[in-house]
Amino acid sequence: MKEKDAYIENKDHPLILYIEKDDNTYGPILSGAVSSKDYIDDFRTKFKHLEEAIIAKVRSGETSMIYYYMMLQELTPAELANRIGISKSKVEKHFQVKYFKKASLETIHKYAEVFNVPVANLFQLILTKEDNLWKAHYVENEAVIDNHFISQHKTENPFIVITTIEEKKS
Amino acid sequence: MTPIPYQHKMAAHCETGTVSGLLNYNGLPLTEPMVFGIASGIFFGYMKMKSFNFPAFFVRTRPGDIRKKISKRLGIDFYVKSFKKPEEAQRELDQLLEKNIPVVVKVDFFYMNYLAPWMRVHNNAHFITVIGKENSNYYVSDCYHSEVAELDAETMSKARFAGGMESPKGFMYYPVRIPKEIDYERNIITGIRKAAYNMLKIPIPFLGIKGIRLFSEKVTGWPKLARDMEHLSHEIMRINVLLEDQGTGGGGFRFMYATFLRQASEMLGNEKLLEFSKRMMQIGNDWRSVSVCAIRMNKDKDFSEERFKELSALIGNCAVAEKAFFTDIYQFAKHYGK
Repeated sequence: MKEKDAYIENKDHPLILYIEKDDNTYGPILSGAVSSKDYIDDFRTKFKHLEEAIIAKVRSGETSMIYYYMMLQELTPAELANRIGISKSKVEKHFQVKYFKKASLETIHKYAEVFNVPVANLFQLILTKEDNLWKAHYVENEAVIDNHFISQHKTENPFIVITTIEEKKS
Repeated sequence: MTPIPYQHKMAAHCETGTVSGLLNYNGLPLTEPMVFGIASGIFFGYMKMKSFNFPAFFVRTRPGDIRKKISKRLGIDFYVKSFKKPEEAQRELDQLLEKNIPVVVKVDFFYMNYLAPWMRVHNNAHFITVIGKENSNYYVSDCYHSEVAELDAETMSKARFAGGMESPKGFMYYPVRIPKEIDYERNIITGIRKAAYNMLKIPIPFLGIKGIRLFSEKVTGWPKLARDMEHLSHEIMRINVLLEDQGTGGGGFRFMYATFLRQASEMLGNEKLLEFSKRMMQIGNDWRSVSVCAIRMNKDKDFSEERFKELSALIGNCAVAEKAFFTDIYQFAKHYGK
């Protein structure tokens, strides 16, 4: 591939490409990812639709937050079971609220570790309204709403997360 | 402590990049494509696994094989260790950093929180070089990040001990002995011969050229496997990501392999290798056409039978070109010097 055809300007997602340079030598250039440059909105829209569909199921009690995080993090029941150290059928049972409530706190803590969210987030959804749309948040996100920062902070206690709402000083 | 004066450099791929980076730091100037080529990194496979939501393909050998092959072929000794307990893994890493030894560790990519959230997926086959620690933060040289990053100790531990397929188990390595004399000629030819063997002769129906043919055949059935149109569109777009954007150097590692053959041609003064490198560059372009087709399908939201046939035909072309290429280069390597 020629250098002029290869280069993509994307400082948010730089990557190295090996190409045929203008002097006919082969070697690396710093380029950027196509997928995140032109299709990131498309990607986000797809995931937003998926998220909305699962949130509706979570609200109606049809499924648990285990299913929510598993789907959004593109894990399979088999891979999740492997990471938690329980059987696949048990993971699939935990998708259902009636079985999820029987899960031990230790297992729930393991789920939270894999998903990298506070344990509390397996029992709650934090939604902020942005552009008149409700948006769910992970712990790492910091949301700004009505001139307030909303964020979650881990503590030394694995079962406690502190959610702060802080006035944004302009 | 301040970071070890290790020259952070982006690379196309994490494993070839970390191996090349550590060898360069320890006095052996070996480029990323040369590491890839000598280690016979080029490959192909198409399969459906329980760990994946959808059929997946891969364009290189198994994670970890690059370092193993480089060690075996070039006679480089690596200190290699896995752990059962995270505390022990952290203690040993800290001790090595205290001695100013940069160490490569295997991690789950999902926890690399210095990268954008949309880039991060659960993948236990990511390699980073740890080059220092200050308070409870590690300095990290990640080939996919433009500068030295920081990762807190808790996250590092979580990333090194993620469970699941290819679980890292705290795996770490660094070179301890590099031979003074290396027979590049023999090892380049061995690397080429083994890569061609893997592509042509492994008797498993989803690996090598057979894997590319299987991909070409099965991709037309993808609409039946997706849960809805958006899922199908996501998986089609992933073809581009796996070939171009997820650390391959472009064209599913084929451009990097072409660069290896070019460097090998210059090192050995062999014109035939130069011809092979040009052919491989063209094969990379063929794979690029597959990516472009996938992008267009996603852009046009056209998932008709005709478009899938077009995609299938483009993948089929790659199978034909690679079959001819690896047959020829296998004969070249087998009879080299005779």
